Amino acid sequence: MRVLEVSDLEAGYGDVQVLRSVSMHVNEEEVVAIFGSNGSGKSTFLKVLIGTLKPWGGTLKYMDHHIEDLPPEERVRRGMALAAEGRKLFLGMTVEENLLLGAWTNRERSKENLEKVYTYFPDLYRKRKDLAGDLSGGQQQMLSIGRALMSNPKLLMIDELSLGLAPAVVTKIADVLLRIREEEGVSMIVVEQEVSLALDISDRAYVFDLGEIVDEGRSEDLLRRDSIRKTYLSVL
Amino acid sequence: MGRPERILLVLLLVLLIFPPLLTQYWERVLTSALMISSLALAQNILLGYTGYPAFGCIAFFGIGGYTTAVLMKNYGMPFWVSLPAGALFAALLALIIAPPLMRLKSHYFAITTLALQLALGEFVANLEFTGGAQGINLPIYRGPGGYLVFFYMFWALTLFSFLLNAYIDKSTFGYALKAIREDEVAAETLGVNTVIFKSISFSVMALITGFAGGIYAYWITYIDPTSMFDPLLSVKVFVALLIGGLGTVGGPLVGAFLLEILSEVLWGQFPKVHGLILGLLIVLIVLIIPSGIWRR
Repeated sequence: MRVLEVSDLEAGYGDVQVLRSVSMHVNEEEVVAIFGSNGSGKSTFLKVLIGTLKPWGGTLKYMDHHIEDLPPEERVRRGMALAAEGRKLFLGMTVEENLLLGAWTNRERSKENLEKVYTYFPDLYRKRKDLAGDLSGGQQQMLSIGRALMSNPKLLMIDELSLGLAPAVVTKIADVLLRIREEEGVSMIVVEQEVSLALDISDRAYVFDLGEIVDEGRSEDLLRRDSIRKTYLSVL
Repeated sequence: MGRPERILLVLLLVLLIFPPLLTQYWERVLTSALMISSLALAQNILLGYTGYPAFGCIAFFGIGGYTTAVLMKNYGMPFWVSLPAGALFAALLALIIAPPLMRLKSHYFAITTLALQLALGEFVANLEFTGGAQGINLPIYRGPGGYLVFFYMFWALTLFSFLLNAYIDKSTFGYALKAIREDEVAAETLGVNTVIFKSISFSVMALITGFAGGIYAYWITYIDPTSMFDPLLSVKVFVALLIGGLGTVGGPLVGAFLLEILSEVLWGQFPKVHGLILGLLIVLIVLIIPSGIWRR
Protein backbone atom coordinates (compact mmCIF):
# COMPACT_ATOMS: atom_id res chain seq x y z
CA MET A 1 0.00 0.00 0.00
CA ARG A 2 1.15 3.54 -0.75
CA VAL A 3 1.40 5.77 2.29
CA LEU A 4 1.98 8.90 0.22
CA GLU A 5 1.34 9.67 -3.41
CA VAL A 6 2.27 13.01 -4.94
CA SER A 7 1.33 13.91 -8.52
CA ASP A 8 2.36 16.94 -10.57
CA LEU A 9 2.95 19.06 -7.48
CA GLU A 10 3.71 22.74 -8.06
CA ALA A 11 4.54 25.23 -5.31
CA GLY A 12 6.51 28.38 -4.55
CA TYR A 13 6.79 31.59 -2.60
CA GLY A 14 5.05 34.74 -3.87
CA ASP A 15 5.62 34.79 -7.62
CA VAL A 16 8.64 32.51 -7.51
CA GLN A 17 7.92 28.93 -8.50
CA VAL A 18 10.10 26.42 -6.65
CA LEU A 19 8.55 23.00 -7.29
CA ARG A 20 7.67 21.97 -10.84
CA SER A 21 5.55 18.94 -11.60
CA VAL A 22 6.92 16.80 -8.76
CA SER A 23 5.54 13.25 -8.66
CA MET A 24 6.68 10.63 -6.19
CA HIS A 25 5.38 8.05 -3.76
CA VAL A 26 6.27 6.32 -0.51
CA ASN A 27 5.27 2.72 0.21
CA GLU A 28 4.46 1.25 3.60
CA GLU A 29 7.52 0.80 5.87
CA GLU A 30 9.76 2.24 3.19
CA VAL A 31 12.58 4.73 3.69
CA VAL A 32 12.77 7.17 0.80
CA ALA A 33 15.68 9.58 0.46
CA ILE A 34 15.54 12.93 -1.29
CA PHE A 35 18.77 14.62 -2.23
CA GLY A 36 19.99 17.36 -4.51
CA SER A 37 21.97 20.57 -4.49
CA ASN A 38 21.18 23.62 -2.37
CA GLY A 39 18.05 25.43 -3.47
CA SER A 40 16.67 22.44 -5.36
CA GLY A 41 13.38 22.59 -3.46
CA LYS A 42 13.80 19.68 -1.02
CA SER A 43 12.78 21.59 2.12
CA THR A 44 9.98 23.38 0.24
CA PHE A 45 8.66 19.96 -0.74
CA LEU A 46 8.49 18.90 2.93
CA LYS A 47 6.75 22.17 3.87
CA VAL A 48 4.05 21.41 1.30
CA LEU A 49 3.71 17.85 2.59
CA ILE A 50 3.21 18.94 6.22
CA GLY A 51 0.92 21.78 5.17
CA THR A 52 2.76 24.95 6.20
CA LEU A 53 3.01 25.92 2.51
CA LYS A 54 0.03 25.64 0.18
CA PRO A 55 0.60 23.93 -3.16
CA TRP A 56 -0.19 25.83 -6.36
CA GLY A 57 -1.32 22.71 -8.17
CA GLY A 58 -1.13 18.93 -8.33
CA THR A 59 -2.45 16.33 -5.93
CA LEU A 60 -1.32 15.02 -2.54
CA LYS A 61 -2.73 11.74 -1.30
CA TYR A 62 -1.93 10.33 2.13
CA MET A 63 -3.26 6.84 2.94
CA ASP A 64 -5.44 7.12 -0.15
CA HIS A 65 -7.08 10.40 0.95
CA HIS A 66 -6.60 13.81 -0.61
CA ILE A 67 -4.92 16.13 1.90
CA GLU A 68 -4.23 19.27 -0.18
CA ASP A 69 -6.72 21.35 1.79
CA LEU A 70 -6.03 19.95 5.24
CA PRO A 71 -4.31 22.21 7.82
CA PRO A 72 -1.03 21.00 9.38
CA GLU A 73 -2.69 19.94 12.65
CA GLU A 74 -5.05 17.59 10.78
CA ARG A 75 -2.17 16.08 8.79
CA VAL A 76 -0.26 15.47 12.04
CA ARG A 77 -3.40 13.99 13.61
CA ARG A 78 -3.64 11.59 10.67
CA GLY A 79 -0.06 10.40 11.17
CA MET A 80 2.35 12.69 9.33
CA ALA A 81 5.24 14.18 11.32
CA LEU A 82 8.14 16.43 10.41
CA ALA A 83 11.54 16.83 12.05
CA ALA A 84 12.11 20.18 10.39
CA GLU A 85 15.21 21.78 8.90
CA GLY A 86 17.28 23.56 11.56
CA ARG A 87 15.52 21.28 14.08
CA LYS A 88 13.02 24.01 14.98
CA LEU A 89 13.24 23.16 18.67
CA PHE A 90 11.75 25.31 21.40
CA LEU A 91 15.12 26.24 22.86
CA GLY A 92 13.73 28.01 25.93
CA MET A 93 11.78 24.92 26.99
CA THR A 94 13.04 21.69 28.55
CA VAL A 95 13.65 18.48 26.63
CA GLU A 96 10.57 16.87 28.17
CA GLU A 97 8.37 19.89 27.42
CA ASN A 98 9.52 19.73 23.78
CA LEU A 99 8.66 16.04 23.65
CA LEU A 100 5.25 16.55 25.25
CA LEU A 101 4.48 19.19 22.64
CA GLY A 102 5.25 16.59 19.99
CA ALA A 103 2.38 14.54 21.41
CA TRP A 104 -0.03 17.45 20.99
CA THR A 105 -2.40 15.55 18.70
CA ASN A 106 -1.97 12.30 20.61
CA ARG A 107 -1.97 13.37 24.25
CA GLU A 108 -3.68 10.27 25.61
CA ARG A 109 -0.64 8.21 24.64
CA SER A 110 2.00 10.77 25.61
CA LYS A 111 3.33 8.84 28.62
CA GLU A 112 3.73 5.62 26.67
CA ASN A 113 5.33 7.46 23.73
CA LEU A 114 7.65 9.36 26.06
CA GLU A 115 9.00 6.07 27.39
CA LYS A 116 9.41 4.79 23.84
CA VAL A 117 11.39 7.88 22.79
CA TYR A 118 13.59 7.62 25.89
CA THR A 119 14.29 3.98 24.99
CA TYR A 120 15.40 4.97 21.49
CA PHE A 121 17.37 7.98 22.72
CA PRO A 122 18.62 7.38 26.30
CA ASP A 123 20.58 10.67 26.10
CA LEU A 124 17.27 12.52 26.08
CA TYR A 125 16.14 10.80 29.27
CA ARG A 126 19.32 11.92 31.05
CA LYS A 127 18.81 15.48 29.79
CA ARG A 128 15.00 15.58 30.16
CA LYS A 129 15.05 18.50 32.65
CA ASP A 130 17.62 20.54 30.66
CA LEU A 131 16.71 23.32 28.27
CA ALA A 132 16.72 22.23 24.62
CA GLY A 133 19.04 25.17 23.92
CA ASP A 134 21.70 23.64 26.19
CA LEU A 135 21.93 20.36 24.22
CA SER A 136 24.69 19.45 21.77
CA GLY A 137 23.90 19.39 18.04
CA GLY A 138 23.50 15.61 18.03
CA GLN A 139 21.21 15.64 21.05
CA GLN A 140 19.15 18.39 19.44
CA GLN A 141 18.72 16.24 16.34
CA MET A 142 17.67 13.31 18.54
CA LEU A 143 15.18 15.58 20.26
CA SER A 144 13.82 16.80 16.94
CA ILE A 145 13.26 13.21 15.75
CA GLY A 146 12.00 12.12 19.18
CA ARG A 147 9.50 14.97 19.22
CA ALA A 148 8.21 13.97 15.80
CA LEU A 149 7.85 10.36 17.02
CA MET A 150 5.68 11.48 19.94
CA SER A 151 2.66 11.83 17.62
CA ASN A 152 2.86 8.12 16.64
CA PRO A 153 3.49 8.90 12.97
CA LYS A 154 2.91 6.55 10.07
CA LEU A 155 5.04 8.81 7.89
CA LEU A 156 8.07 10.48 9.45
CA MET A 157 9.80 13.22 7.43
CA ILE A 158 13.29 14.32 8.41
CA ASP A 159 14.90 17.39 6.91
CA GLU A 160 18.72 17.52 6.82
CA LEU A 161 19.46 14.62 9.11
CA SER A 162 23.23 15.07 9.24
CA LEU A 163 23.54 18.87 9.05
CA GLY A 164 26.33 20.06 11.35
CA LEU A 165 26.79 16.69 13.07
CA ALA A 166 29.88 14.53 13.55
CA PRO A 167 29.88 11.33 11.42
CA ALA A 168 29.76 9.08 14.52
CA VAL A 169 26.66 10.87 15.79
CA VAL A 170 25.00 10.63 12.39
CA THR A 171 25.64 6.88 12.23
CA LYS A 172 24.16 6.46 15.70
CA ILE A 173 21.00 8.40 14.76
CA ALA A 174 20.69 6.58 11.42
CA ASP A 175 20.85 3.22 13.24
CA VAL A 176 18.04 4.32 15.55
CA LEU A 177 15.95 5.40 12.54
CA LEU A 178 16.28 1.97 10.96
CA ARG A 179 15.30 0.39 14.29
CA ILE A 180 12.24 2.65 14.44
CA ARG A 181 11.24 1.61 10.93
CA GLU A 182 11.53 -2.05 11.86
CA GLU A 183 9.87 -1.91 15.27
CA GLU A 184 7.19 0.71 14.60
CA GLY A 185 6.56 0.11 10.91
CA VAL A 186 7.05 3.81 10.18
CA SER A 187 7.60 4.97 6.61
CA MET A 188 10.15 7.75 6.22
CA ILE A 189 11.21 10.51 3.90
CA VAL A 190 14.77 11.59 4.63
CA VAL A 191 16.00 14.79 3.01
CA GLU A 192 19.76 14.71 3.07
CA GLN A 193 22.68 16.49 1.42
CA GLU A 194 25.15 13.78 2.40
CA VAL A 195 24.29 11.54 -0.55
CA SER A 196 26.18 8.42 0.52
CA LEU A 197 24.34 8.48 3.86
CA ALA A 198 20.99 9.09 2.14
CA LEU A 199 21.49 6.12 -0.16
CA ASP A 200 22.84 3.93 2.66
CA ILE A 201 19.76 4.22 4.85
CA SER A 202 17.05 4.33 2.18
CA ASP A 203 15.27 1.80 0.00
CA ARG A 204 14.62 4.24 -2.84
CA ALA A 205 15.65 7.80 -3.61
CA TYR A 206 14.63 10.83 -5.65
CA VAL A 207 17.09 13.41 -6.97
CA PHE A 208 15.89 17.01 -6.97
CA ASP A 209 17.34 19.73 -9.18
CA LEU A 210 15.85 23.22 -9.65
CA GLY A 211 12.53 22.08 -8.23
CA GLU A 212 12.16 19.01 -10.44
CA ILE A 213 12.81 15.33 -9.95
CA VAL A 214 15.64 14.56 -12.35
CA ASP A 215 16.41 11.00 -11.31
CA GLU A 216 14.95 8.26 -9.17
CA GLY A 217 15.39 4.60 -8.44
CA ARG A 218 16.37 1.99 -5.91
CA SER A 219 19.11 3.32 -3.68
CA GLU A 220 21.52 0.49 -4.41
CA ASP A 221 21.09 1.10 -8.16
CA LEU A 222 21.60 4.86 -7.79
CA LEU A 223 24.73 4.22 -5.76
CA ARG A 224 26.18 2.38 -8.75
CA ARG A 225 25.03 4.90 -11.35
CA ASP A 226 27.92 6.89 -12.88
CA SER A 227 26.04 10.19 -13.11
CA ILE A 228 25.22 10.05 -9.40
CA ARG A 229 28.71 8.97 -8.40
CA LYS A 230 30.31 11.81 -10.43
CA THR A 231 27.89 14.59 -9.44
CA TYR A 232 27.14 13.77 -5.83
CA LEU A 233 29.81 11.40 -4.56
CA SER A 234 32.83 13.04 -6.27
CA VAL A 235 33.92 9.67 -7.62
CA LEU A 236 35.74 10.11 -10.92
CA MET B 1 4.14 26.08 41.29
CA GLY B 2 7.71 26.27 42.61
CA ARG B 3 8.76 27.28 46.13
CA PRO B 4 9.43 30.98 45.32
CA GLU B 5 5.98 31.26 43.69
CA ARG B 6 4.35 29.63 46.73
CA ILE B 7 6.09 32.16 49.01
CA LEU B 8 4.82 34.97 46.81
CA LEU B 9 1.31 33.53 47.00
CA VAL B 10 1.50 33.47 50.81
CA LEU B 11 2.67 37.12 50.79
CA LEU B 12 -0.24 37.99 48.54
CA LEU B 13 -2.63 36.29 50.95
CA VAL B 14 -1.03 38.06 53.93
CA LEU B 15 -1.59 41.38 52.14
CA LEU B 16 -5.30 40.85 52.75
CA ILE B 17 -4.99 41.61 56.47
CA PHE B 18 -3.11 44.89 55.98
CA PRO B 19 -5.65 47.41 54.68
CA PRO B 20 -7.39 48.24 58.01
CA LEU B 21 -3.94 49.11 59.44
CA LEU B 22 -2.98 51.42 56.57
CA THR B 23 -3.42 55.13 56.09
CA GLN B 24 -5.66 56.19 53.20
CA TYR B 25 -2.57 57.21 51.25
CA TRP B 26 -0.93 53.76 51.47
CA GLU B 27 -4.22 52.05 50.90
CA ARG B 28 -4.44 53.94 47.61
CA VAL B 29 -0.81 53.15 46.69
CA LEU B 30 -1.34 49.42 47.31
CA THR B 31 -4.65 49.43 45.40
CA SER B 32 -2.84 51.04 42.50
CA ALA B 33 0.02 48.50 42.75
CA LEU B 34 -2.52 45.66 42.67
CA MET B 35 -4.14 47.19 39.59
CA ILE B 36 -0.79 47.39 37.76
CA SER B 37 -0.03 43.83 38.96
CA SER B 38 -3.21 42.46 37.44
CA LEU B 39 -2.56 44.33 34.18
CA ALA B 40 1.06 43.09 34.05
CA LEU B 41 -0.02 39.51 34.82
CA ALA B 42 -2.61 39.76 32.02
CA GLN B 43 -0.01 41.08 29.61
CA ASN B 44 2.36 38.31 30.73
CA ILE B 45 -0.04 35.72 29.32
CA LEU B 46 0.11 37.36 25.91
CA LEU B 47 3.68 38.65 25.79
CA GLY B 48 5.51 36.49 28.34
CA TYR B 49 4.01 33.14 27.34
CA THR B 50 2.73 33.69 23.79
CA GLY B 51 5.35 36.20 22.60
CA TYR B 52 2.95 38.88 21.32
CA PRO B 53 3.59 42.40 22.70
CA ALA B 54 0.24 44.19 22.84
CA PHE B 55 1.60 47.65 23.48
CA GLY B 56 -1.94 48.94 23.19
CA CYS B 57 -3.35 46.54 25.80
CA ILE B 58 -4.93 49.49 27.58
CA ALA B 59 -7.48 49.63 24.75
CA PHE B 60 -9.27 46.83 26.62
CA PHE B 61 -8.90 48.68 29.92
CA GLY B 62 -10.78 51.53 28.26
CA ILE B 63 -13.42 49.26 26.75
CA GLY B 64 -14.01 47.51 30.09
CA GLY B 65 -14.13 50.82 31.97
CA TYR B 66 -16.41 52.58 29.51
CA THR B 67 -18.80 49.65 29.13
CA THR B 68 -19.12 49.42 32.91
CA ALA B 69 -19.63 53.18 33.21
CA VAL B 70 -22.16 53.43 30.36
CA LEU B 71 -24.21 50.50 31.67
CA MET B 72 -24.27 51.99 35.17
CA LYS B 73 -24.89 55.60 34.19
CA ASN B 74 -27.09 55.32 31.09
CA TYR B 75 -28.98 52.12 31.86
CA GLY B 76 -28.98 52.17 35.66
CA MET B 77 -27.49 48.68 35.87
CA PRO B 78 -25.77 47.65 39.11
CA PHE B 79 -21.98 47.61 39.24
CA TRP B 80 -21.85 43.83 39.83
CA VAL B 81 -23.60 43.27 36.52
CA SER B 82 -21.89 46.08 34.58
CA LEU B 83 -18.37 45.00 35.59
CA PRO B 84 -18.44 41.45 34.16
CA ALA B 85 -20.41 42.72 31.15
CA GLY B 86 -17.61 45.23 30.41
CA ALA B 87 -14.88 42.61 30.81
CA LEU B 88 -16.74 40.07 28.67
CA PHE B 89 -17.32 42.68 25.98
CA ALA B 90 -13.58 43.47 25.93
CA ALA B 91 -12.78 39.73 25.71
CA LEU B 92 -15.30 39.17 22.94
CA LEU B 93 -13.97 42.08 20.91
CA ALA B 94 -10.44 40.71 21.36
CA LEU B 95 -11.58 37.27 20.22
CA ILE B 96 -13.09 38.76 17.06
CA ILE B 97 -10.11 40.90 16.09
CA ALA B 98 -7.40 38.41 17.14
CA PRO B 99 -7.26 36.19 14.00
CA PRO B 100 -6.50 39.03 11.54
CA LEU B 101 -4.55 41.15 14.05
CA MET B 102 -2.30 38.32 15.19
CA ARG B 103 -1.10 37.60 11.69
CA LEU B 104 1.24 40.49 12.49
CA LYS B 105 4.26 39.81 14.66
CA SER B 106 6.64 41.60 17.07
CA HIS B 107 6.85 45.40 16.62
CA TYR B 108 4.24 45.42 13.82
CA PHE B 109 1.78 43.81 16.22
CA ALA B 110 2.83 46.15 19.04
CA ILE B 111 2.34 49.28 16.93
CA THR B 112 -0.99 48.10 15.53
CA THR B 113 -2.41 47.46 19.00
CA LEU B 114 -1.18 50.90 20.09
CA ALA B 115 -2.92 52.42 17.05
CA LEU B 116 -6.06 50.54 18.05
CA GLN B 117 -5.83 51.99 21.56
CA LEU B 118 -5.41 55.56 20.28
CA ALA B 119 -8.15 55.14 17.65
CA LEU B 120 -10.58 53.76 20.22
CA GLY B 121 -9.81 56.71 22.49
CA GLU B 122 -10.67 59.10 19.65
CA PHE B 123 -13.77 57.09 18.78
CA VAL B 124 -15.07 57.19 22.36
CA ALA B 125 -14.30 60.93 22.55
CA ASN B 126 -16.66 61.49 19.61
CA LEU B 127 -19.61 59.48 20.85
CA GLU B 128 -22.50 61.12 22.63
CA PHE B 129 -23.56 58.28 24.91
CA THR B 130 -20.02 57.97 26.33
CA GLY B 131 -20.04 61.64 27.29
CA GLY B 132 -17.58 62.50 24.49
CA ALA B 133 -14.38 64.25 25.53
CA GLN B 134 -16.10 65.41 28.74
CA GLY B 135 -16.19 61.87 30.08
CA ILE B 136 -18.61 60.25 32.51
CA ASN B 137 -19.20 60.79 36.22
CA LEU B 138 -20.05 57.64 38.09
CA PRO B 139 -21.91 57.44 41.40
CA ILE B 140 -19.68 57.29 44.47
CA TYR B 141 -19.55 53.90 46.10
CA ARG B 142 -21.26 54.07 49.53
CA GLY B 143 -21.63 50.39 50.30
CA PRO B 144 -20.05 48.30 53.06
CA GLY B 145 -16.27 48.48 53.43
CA GLY B 146 -16.00 51.95 51.88
CA TYR B 147 -13.22 52.46 49.39
CA LEU B 148 -11.39 49.42 50.73
CA VAL B 149 -13.70 47.36 48.55
CA PHE B 150 -11.65 48.46 45.51
CA PHE B 151 -8.48 47.24 47.21
CA TYR B 152 -10.15 43.83 47.70
CA MET B 153 -11.45 43.74 44.14
CA PHE B 154 -8.03 44.44 42.66
CA TRP B 155 -6.54 41.96 45.13
CA ALA B 156 -8.98 39.27 43.95
CA LEU B 157 -8.24 40.08 40.31
CA THR B 158 -4.49 39.90 40.99
CA LEU B 159 -4.87 36.59 42.83
CA PHE B 160 -6.92 35.16 39.96
CA SER B 161 -4.38 36.39 37.37
CA PHE B 162 -1.47 35.05 39.43
CA LEU B 163 -3.07 31.59 39.76
CA LEU B 164 -3.93 31.64 36.05
CA ASN B 165 -0.30 32.43 35.20
CA ALA B 166 0.84 29.59 37.48
CA TYR B 167 -1.56 27.21 35.73
CA ILE B 168 -0.44 28.33 32.28
CA ASP B 169 3.21 27.94 33.24
CA LYS B 170 2.87 24.19 33.80
CA SER B 171 -0.16 23.18 31.76
CA THR B 172 -0.50 21.69 28.28
CA PHE B 173 -2.29 24.90 27.30
CA GLY B 174 0.77 26.82 28.47
CA TYR B 175 3.12 24.54 26.52
CA ALA B 176 1.19 25.41 23.36
CA LEU B 177 1.51 29.14 24.11
CA LYS B 178 5.23 28.82 24.81
CA ALA B 179 5.68 26.84 21.60
CA ILE B 180 4.05 29.70 19.68
CA ARG B 181 6.37 32.15 21.44
CA GLU B 182 9.45 30.11 20.60
CA ASP B 183 8.64 29.20 16.98
CA GLU B 184 5.16 29.50 15.54
CA VAL B 185 5.84 27.49 12.38
CA ALA B 186 7.36 24.66 14.41
CA ALA B 187 4.31 24.70 16.67
CA GLU B 188 2.08 24.36 13.61
CA THR B 189 4.07 21.43 12.29
CA LEU B 190 3.44 19.64 15.60
CA GLY B 191 -0.29 20.07 15.17
CA VAL B 192 -0.89 23.09 17.44
CA ASN B 193 -3.71 25.23 16.03
CA THR B 194 -1.86 28.50 16.51
CA VAL B 195 -4.77 30.76 15.48
CA ILE B 196 -7.02 29.34 18.21
CA PHE B 197 -4.38 29.49 20.95
CA LYS B 198 -3.24 33.01 20.06
CA SER B 199 -6.86 34.17 20.03
CA ILE B 200 -7.56 32.62 23.44
CA SER B 201 -4.41 34.18 24.88
CA PHE B 202 -5.34 37.61 23.48
CA SER B 203 -8.89 37.27 24.73
CA VAL B 204 -7.87 36.22 28.27
CA MET B 205 -5.52 39.22 28.42
CA ALA B 206 -8.42 41.46 27.32
CA LEU B 207 -10.78 39.88 29.89
CA ILE B 208 -8.49 40.61 32.86
CA THR B 209 -7.61 44.05 31.50
CA GLY B 210 -11.31 44.80 30.97
CA PHE B 211 -12.08 43.79 34.56
CA ALA B 212 -9.31 46.12 35.77
CA GLY B 213 -10.76 48.97 33.66
CA GLY B 214 -14.24 48.44 35.10
CA ILE B 215 -13.04 48.41 38.71
CA TYR B 216 -10.85 51.45 38.05
CA ALA B 217 -13.78 53.41 36.55
CA TYR B 218 -15.93 52.90 39.65
CA TRP B 219 -12.97 53.52 41.98
CA ILE B 220 -12.04 56.84 40.34
CA THR B 221 -15.74 57.79 39.75
CA TYR B 222 -14.84 59.95 36.77
CA ILE B 223 -13.47 58.67 33.48
CA ASP B 224 -12.60 60.33 30.20
CA PRO B 225 -10.95 59.04 26.99
CA THR B 226 -7.55 60.47 27.98
CA SER B 227 -7.35 58.58 31.26
CA MET B 228 -8.95 55.33 30.04
CA PHE B 229 -6.89 54.97 26.85
CA ASP B 230 -3.68 56.43 28.26
CA PRO B 231 -0.51 55.20 26.46
CA LEU B 232 1.51 55.96 29.61
CA LEU B 233 -0.42 53.27 31.44
CA SER B 234 0.65 50.80 28.71
CA VAL B 235 4.25 51.92 29.29
CA LYS B 236 3.88 51.37 33.04
CA VAL B 237 2.55 47.84 32.50
CA PHE B 238 5.43 46.98 30.16
CA VAL B 239 8.05 48.45 32.50
CA ALA B 240 6.63 46.46 35.43
CA LEU B 241 6.70 43.31 33.31
CA LEU B 242 10.26 43.85 32.06
CA ILE B 243 11.60 44.67 35.53
CA GLY B 244 9.85 41.67 37.04
CA GLY B 245 10.68 39.13 34.36
CA LEU B 246 8.81 38.15 31.20
CA GLY B 247 7.23 34.73 31.03
CA THR B 248 7.56 34.10 34.76
CA VAL B 249 4.76 33.59 37.27
CA GLY B 250 6.09 35.89 39.98
CA GLY B 251 7.85 38.53 37.87
CA PRO B 252 4.89 40.71 36.89
CA LEU B 253 3.68 40.90 40.50
CA VAL B 254 7.12 41.77 41.89
CA GLY B 255 7.79 44.25 39.07
CA ALA B 256 4.47 46.04 39.55
CA PHE B 257 4.86 46.41 43.32
CA LEU B 258 8.47 47.51 43.01
CA LEU B 259 7.62 50.09 40.36
CA GLU B 260 4.59 51.49 42.16
CA ILE B 261 6.12 51.66 45.63
CA LEU B 262 9.46 52.99 44.34
CA SER B 263 7.62 55.60 42.32
CA GLU B 264 5.57 56.73 45.35
CA VAL B 265 8.55 56.82 47.73
CA LEU B 266 10.65 58.82 45.26
CA TRP B 267 7.74 61.16 44.61
CA GLY B 268 7.48 61.79 48.36
CA GLN B 269 11.22 62.26 48.91
CA PHE B 270 12.22 64.07 45.71
CA PRO B 271 9.12 65.83 44.38
CA LYS B 272 11.02 67.79 41.73
CA VAL B 273 13.26 65.06 40.30
CA HIS B 274 11.43 61.85 41.14
CA GLY B 275 10.79 61.05 37.46
CA LEU B 276 14.47 61.41 36.63
CA ILE B 277 15.59 59.20 39.53
CA LEU B 278 12.94 56.59 38.78
CA GLY B 279 13.97 56.54 35.11
CA LEU B 280 17.65 56.10 36.03
CA LEU B 281 16.79 53.31 38.46
CA ILE B 282 14.77 51.50 35.78
CA VAL B 283 17.65 51.82 33.31
CA LEU B 284 20.05 50.44 35.95
CA ILE B 285 17.79 47.50 36.77
CA VAL B 286 17.35 46.62 33.09
CA LEU B 287 21.12 46.89 32.50
CA ILE B 288 22.09 44.77 35.51
CA ILE B 289 19.36 42.14 35.21
CA PRO B 290 18.06 42.30 31.63
CA SER B 291 15.90 39.20 32.00
CA GLY B 292 14.18 40.63 35.08
CA ILE B 293 14.23 40.05 38.82
CA TRP B 294 12.28 36.80 38.69
CA ARG B 295 14.14 34.07 36.81
CA ARG B 296 12.49 31.43 34.65
